[in-house]
Amino acid sequence: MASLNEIEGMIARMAMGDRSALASLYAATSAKLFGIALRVLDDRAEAEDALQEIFVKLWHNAGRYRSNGLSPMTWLITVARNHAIDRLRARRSQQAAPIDEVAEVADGGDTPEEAAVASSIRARIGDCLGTLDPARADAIRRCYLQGEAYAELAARYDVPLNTIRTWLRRGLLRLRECLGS
Amino acid sequence: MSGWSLDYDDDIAIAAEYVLDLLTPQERGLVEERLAVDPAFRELVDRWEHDLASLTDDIPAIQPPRALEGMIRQRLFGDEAPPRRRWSLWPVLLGGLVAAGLALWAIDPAFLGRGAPDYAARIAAEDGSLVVEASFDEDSRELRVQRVAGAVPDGKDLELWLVRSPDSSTVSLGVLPRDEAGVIEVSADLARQFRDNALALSVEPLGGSPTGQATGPVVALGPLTGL
Repeated sequence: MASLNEIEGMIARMAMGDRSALASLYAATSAKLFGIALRVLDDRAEAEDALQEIFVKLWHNAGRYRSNGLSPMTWLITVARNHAIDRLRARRSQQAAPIDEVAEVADGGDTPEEAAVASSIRARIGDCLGTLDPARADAIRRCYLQGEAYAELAARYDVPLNTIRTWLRRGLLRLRECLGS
Repeated sequence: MSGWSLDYDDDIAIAAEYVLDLLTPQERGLVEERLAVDPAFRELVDRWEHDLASLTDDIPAIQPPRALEGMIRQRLFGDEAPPRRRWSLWPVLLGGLVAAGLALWAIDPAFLGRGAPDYAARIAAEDGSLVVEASFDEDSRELRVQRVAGAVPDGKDLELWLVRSPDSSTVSLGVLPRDEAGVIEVSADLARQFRDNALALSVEPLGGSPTGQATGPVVALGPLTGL
């Protein structure tokens, strides 16, 4: 596994048009990013297409990467996650399942309790999410990994649409307090 | 400064909503304008991106199919695609098989009996020193492989290729499992390309060809038979 400094170097060389840097970055990170695309999209063929588009984006946007003292993996993961979520949302809007059907399907997933237990083995964010009301912690995970929006969250957690934003924000502020700034 | 962003808690929440993509397009536009001019707010967004990205820590890394990197390079720099290897061996071998009336192989029914595969192939070296039987079910996209003769060379891997007529272009199906029997999952687009084609095995570095094309000798080949 390449060090974070090496990955930052690869991104910088990609920004200058160095094609071998793309090969190095692909070797170092494609499996991680493919895993993420596969988790979000839950469809191998779609995840393969997404991974191609993600690396095309990384190549074109390498010049916009700014080192901010945090991990360069964050940038790669953010690009991959955002792209996969965009595809997932496009797919959902095509399928346009009625809301009650959406809620029913979702009941098959982890219960908030299960999700809370699973989170305890994760790093700090897992610990901090564990201090939240389980439904809010679950909602934050669903926003990040499944691209759910306020309307979907309101239906899922049975919170009125006009207060769902306040409801989630309370969780986000609590999470930030725990994580520190 | 925008009216909705005076309060620090509000900034924290908006930064998170921006990262989670929960804002309306109008709000998103305002946030992006602000990001360009407000380093403290930019820092809040960076921090959220960093912390939320760790939600992917427990997602396992999964090797994408070997051919994907070549497809990305092709998309980005179409001009420098690696030269397609010509499979000069295969028409000769196939021609020989057809001439000898051996195109249809007797395949162990017990091996095929697990589902209802759509295609089968006996991928064999010319001298029989390596034989792999394969069966493929189009619906489940499962390619079952069983090595019935020969071994995977030490320090190397055998990579399985779909050889497509009429131009003998090749695309990787993955590395042959080192166990005698295994299952390879085939991508949806390749799953539709088995008809009238063939499977081949080449010797590659551990983990498979680094280029998306076979780099080592082709040691075994077999036509796919529709069942």
